[in-house]
Amino acid sequence: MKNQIKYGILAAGLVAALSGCNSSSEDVVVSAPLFSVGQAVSTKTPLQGSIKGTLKSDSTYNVTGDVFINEGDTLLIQPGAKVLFDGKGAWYFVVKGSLLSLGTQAKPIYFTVPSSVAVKNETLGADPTTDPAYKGFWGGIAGETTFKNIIIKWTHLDFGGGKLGTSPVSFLANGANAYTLTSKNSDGIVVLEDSWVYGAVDDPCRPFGGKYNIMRNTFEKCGFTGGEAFNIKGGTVGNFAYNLIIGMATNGPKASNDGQSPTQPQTNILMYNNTMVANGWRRSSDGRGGSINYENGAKGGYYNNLIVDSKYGPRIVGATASYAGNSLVVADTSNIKYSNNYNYVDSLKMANQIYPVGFTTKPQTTDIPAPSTFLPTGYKPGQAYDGTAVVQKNNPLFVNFPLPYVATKKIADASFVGTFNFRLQPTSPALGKGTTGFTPLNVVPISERYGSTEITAPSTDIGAYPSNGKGNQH
Amino acid sequence: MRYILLISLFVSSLAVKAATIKGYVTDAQTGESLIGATVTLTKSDGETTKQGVVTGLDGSYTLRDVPEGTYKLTVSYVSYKTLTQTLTVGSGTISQNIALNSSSNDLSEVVISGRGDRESENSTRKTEQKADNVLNIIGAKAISLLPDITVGNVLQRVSGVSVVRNSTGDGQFAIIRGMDKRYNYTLVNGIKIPSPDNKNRYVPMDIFPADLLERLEVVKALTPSMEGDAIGGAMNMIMRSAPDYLVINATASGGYSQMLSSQPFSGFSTSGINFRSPSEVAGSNRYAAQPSDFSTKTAQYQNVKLPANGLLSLSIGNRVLNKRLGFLVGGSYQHTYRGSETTFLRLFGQPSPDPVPNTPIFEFVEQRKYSNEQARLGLNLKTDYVFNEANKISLYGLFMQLDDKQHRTVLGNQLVQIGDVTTTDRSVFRRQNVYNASLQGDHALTGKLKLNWSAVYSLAKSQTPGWTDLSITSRTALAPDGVSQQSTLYINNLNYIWTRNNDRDLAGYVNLNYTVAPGFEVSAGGMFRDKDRNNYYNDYQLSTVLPGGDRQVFTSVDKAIFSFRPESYAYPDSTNANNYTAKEQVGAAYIQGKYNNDHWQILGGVRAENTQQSYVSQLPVTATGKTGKIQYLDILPSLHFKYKLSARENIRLSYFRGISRPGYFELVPASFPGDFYTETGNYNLKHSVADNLDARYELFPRGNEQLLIGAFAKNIKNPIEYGFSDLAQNNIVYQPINYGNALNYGAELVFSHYISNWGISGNYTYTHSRITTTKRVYGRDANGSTVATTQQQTRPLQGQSDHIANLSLIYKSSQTGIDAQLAWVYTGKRINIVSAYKDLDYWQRGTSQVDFSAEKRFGTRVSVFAKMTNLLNNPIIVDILRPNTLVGYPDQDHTDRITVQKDVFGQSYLLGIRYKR
Repeated sequence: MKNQIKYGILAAGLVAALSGCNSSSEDVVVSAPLFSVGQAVSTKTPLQGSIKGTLKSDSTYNVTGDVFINEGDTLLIQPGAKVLFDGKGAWYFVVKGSLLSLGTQAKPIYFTVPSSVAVKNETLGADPTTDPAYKGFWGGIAGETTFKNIIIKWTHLDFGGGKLGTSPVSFLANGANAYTLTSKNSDGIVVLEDSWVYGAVDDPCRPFGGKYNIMRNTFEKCGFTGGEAFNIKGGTVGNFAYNLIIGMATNGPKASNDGQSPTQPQTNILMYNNTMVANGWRRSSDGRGGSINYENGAKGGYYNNLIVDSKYGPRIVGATASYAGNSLVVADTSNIKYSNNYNYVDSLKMANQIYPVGFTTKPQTTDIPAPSTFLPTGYKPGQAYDGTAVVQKNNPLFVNFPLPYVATKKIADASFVGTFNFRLQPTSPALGKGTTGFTPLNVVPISERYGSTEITAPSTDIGAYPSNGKGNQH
Repeated sequence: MRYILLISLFVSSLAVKAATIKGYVTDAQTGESLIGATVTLTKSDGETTKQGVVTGLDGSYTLRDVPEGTYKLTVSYVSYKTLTQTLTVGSGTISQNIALNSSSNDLSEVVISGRGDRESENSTRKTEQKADNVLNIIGAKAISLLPDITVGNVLQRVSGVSVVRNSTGDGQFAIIRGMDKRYNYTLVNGIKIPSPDNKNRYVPMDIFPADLLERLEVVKALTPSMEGDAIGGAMNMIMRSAPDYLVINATASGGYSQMLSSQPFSGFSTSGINFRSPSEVAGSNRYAAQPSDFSTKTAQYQNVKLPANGLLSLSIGNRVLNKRLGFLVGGSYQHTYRGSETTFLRLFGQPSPDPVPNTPIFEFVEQRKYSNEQARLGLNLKTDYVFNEANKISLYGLFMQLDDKQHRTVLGNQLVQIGDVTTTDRSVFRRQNVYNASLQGDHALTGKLKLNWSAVYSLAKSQTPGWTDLSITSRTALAPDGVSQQSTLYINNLNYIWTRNNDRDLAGYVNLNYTVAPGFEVSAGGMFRDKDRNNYYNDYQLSTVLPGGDRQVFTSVDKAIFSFRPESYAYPDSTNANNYTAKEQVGAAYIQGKYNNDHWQILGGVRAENTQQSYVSQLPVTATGKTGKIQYLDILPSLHFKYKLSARENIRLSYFRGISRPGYFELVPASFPGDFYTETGNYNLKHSVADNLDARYELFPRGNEQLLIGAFAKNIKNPIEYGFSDLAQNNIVYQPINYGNALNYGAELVFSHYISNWGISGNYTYTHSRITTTKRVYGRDANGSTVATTQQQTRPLQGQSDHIANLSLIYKSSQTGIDAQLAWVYTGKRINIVSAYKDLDYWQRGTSQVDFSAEKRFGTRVSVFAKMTNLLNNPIIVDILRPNTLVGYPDQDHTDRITVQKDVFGQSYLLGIRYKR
């Protein structure tokens, strides 16, 4: 697919070049100045304390303590910059003003640790108790209650989410687990686009209110024995779309309206066109989900998601849930819309939880597999059923991922992308089964620097990689 | 002094051979009835003792069937001069009242210098009557007859006092006249002691064994010479002091708690507990703990076969070296096993917006079972040395230790159909100590000028090492046939906490008293206190996840495999905001004058208190308020007016201004984020200042009888309550806040009345208070979206009951040597927990408790006693006052309220023997 795009660009360029020959006027192409803000930050002194200005392109910065971007200040990170944490504390980038991490496809930015601290273990079946992905070697990026913008594009956020010492953030407790990306300002704008989030002890991304657009990212190996890719708390609105999520301890996105405060709106999240593979398997306690979850007063919708070998299908907590083990409170069920979601399962256990037992997810006729092919007549949401009929049926035909999954002993081993390719083969039954009958939530501006590059519209193809090439670019 | 003996003879027209002699024995100076005085009648020829009786509760005695003749009537009473009188008996009834003189001569101001038997009921009433200000007293004799073994429980017998109970059902903190514990302070011999509580100033009163007390005073109106930081009142524990003659008191008793017959006592061993956490043992804050550093013994539970309670106390006092050196050494040891059971509906932290705003929703129905083993040790030493008439020094030492071992089992939701069901065991071993050493001097510099000074060292300490939380989970799944199926048991993370705190006080007091003229005194003095407080906190979480990421099947905790995953969890959590230090210096000076004549007394003056506080917190350097200093000065006037309507009646009017300082940690802006809101301290918090008015009519008909009728009003400026505030844009926190003023008023009635061997005593207090605070409402807007808003709600102050009552029926027979008391205490409905959400406060229902105690004396020195508490096994029930639509939940008996907690403690019994000389 990447090659197809490249050829397309090449062809267009040839046509343009030829047509240019026919014109008498000059076709001028000059480079734009590299965007910078304030003074360049020196690479000589380690990053720590209050910082503003620009982290220069292709430079390496070493972080040795918590970094603060004060109210009214902006820190810009230019393409190709590397921010390396020393691994000696869960250091945070505390944003009280604005952080712009503007990488490009050609020159992504890195927030990570030097290889002397940790390297990715990309062996299938690696033991999660020793995998550095679940250790947390730095804290994260936190929008304090005053921040304006956190714009992260084409950036790697690897090995974050460690255990905090003294919390530098007013809304996280001392000694608690950090979240790689978190914020608490319902007026703040957070954009995470075309980026990679790899590893975290708990949730890599947890908003406590704010305007979010999380699009076209790849999440791998997040949450040691619990943790969601996007664990949404009260007062958060936005989109979660075209993301590839593999190997989360629990769910991909989970929406809740916990702690909505008087200055905040109700949590409202649209989750669409995501591809979720092998999630929910490291969650130690039972029944916490493995794909999509709506609970405690959250509203929104989910469409066109491709869910493969996840412990549970999409789960909506309703009034009938008689459940313990963790707080489960009713979602704003009358204000959640959903359809056209695709579920592939390799075992009966998973098949029996495509519509999780005890919850109120209503089967939709547009779902794949069709509910009528395996649910008993008179099925009521939450009822236990026998899913034998759909085990290993409706293979979505990824370009490179073995289904049925027989590569090693368990599906939980598939927790990273590596050489897998989750684009769809041209014959995939997921193509053309999606819906475009809803409008994304446009809560962040469209902007090269201060907003989202593109709020990608829903596709008629299910999953993060639609055939029009406008989805996930990884 | 010479005295008068009134003899009245009533000779009937019919001559009979035997007569009856009746009368009252009283104090010659005060006219109080003397209870238990020995009256003997001897033939004047000295041959044989004819008859002997002991006076009853009202000081009365009766001698029957006395043949004609001439007798010697001898009346004796401890610390009074024995009186002998010749009496000629004919026939009929002879009324013979006798007044005794005290053997010591300075009973005028009992509180300070009395040498009478200050533990007696008579003395207690006398002190109340003679006191300069409004107070209530329970003396040691009354305490020994009470069913209570700790001061915490004794407090609830005092008029206007209700208690907050600990998990075993024993009183722990006092609420005085509806004023929460934060508004009261605790004194030992008039000296303020620090608290072992980890965040607050108020002292847990269940530390103190009741049998070391000479008396317990609850002072409700402060004089300028008293420290000014009480608005509800001050609890003053006067410990037993050096007597004038040899005194030996000893008791030994054993008992049993009824609860443990149906619920075995499940204890744990503290032998593996280290008072220091692993990082402290290693001496490094960068020490990576090993699972082998942790003992699992605290999580291994064994049933105790015979959980019998044992109590011992001994005190010895005498005055030696030509009566110059007096001492009293007292010790008390109490070892008790208690059980209790609680049904608990755990409210979800955020209510539901449907069907109506703030609809409470419940996460769990829990059964909690408590096994508490307490060892309470108290040592008390009082010595004084009298140089001469004018100079005396005294040394006082106090050591208190309460070891509390609590095992709490929480059985998870019994209503679960799907999901995990978790049983949690918690072992908490807590050692609390209070040390106090005071050196005091009394000097009469001239005939008119007296000096009194104290140098005081106190330390309050609480240590909770190796707090252990173990939880075991099983999985409940719904099979296709609709039946719940339970899985094997899995062991979850094992958690340990080390926490401790110290509060060290150094204080000096100086008082000068000048007698300007007879009946007119002026005093002035000052005080300085330096306080140093620190808190330590460290916790560890040991993971049970197995290599490969699998869940660990539970067999027993000693066989479980633990590890630190991720490895960073092995480092100490010394950065927790619960680590803090605070300092406080209070300097005070006062001047007061006291004038009295035959009819009235006026005491008034002014006190100035200067407070300086500082703290150092764990906040990052970038935060506002990492360190702080706070200073303020209070001018506290007071005026106490007493008018003697008659020798037995007073009318009192008093005014005082008192303050209440915020808790140590309430000022520190460290945040404790929760799921639904963040809690934080508030450095803008102001201390509370209250103007207090009291009026009281007092009648002391005789001896230990009394009738007190009073009214009070308190206007409290800046009371401290919790509520929401907008710290900054989008940063709304739950914190202690001043919400303007609150008015608290009420009335009190105290009475005791005796007829021969029977007595009835009781008290009743009505209190009314209101405060308005901000609370959160979670509902829906016009578009159907959920919305959180803030609204104001008016309610009584936390802990304030409108009605508090005590009633005791007392039997006391000197002839048979039997004392018995049936005591009933009632605490009206009150708010236990103030919710952050509107209309979701936790209300404790009005609750009663009935206790019984009895004592039988054999001879003059030995007695046997029994104490039975909570005879009717009354539960404590807590409700949320919202319509109840729950189906299938336990203990729901009303449609207009939801019962969220029901505590059952069971009866307890104690049988013992007492020796006294």
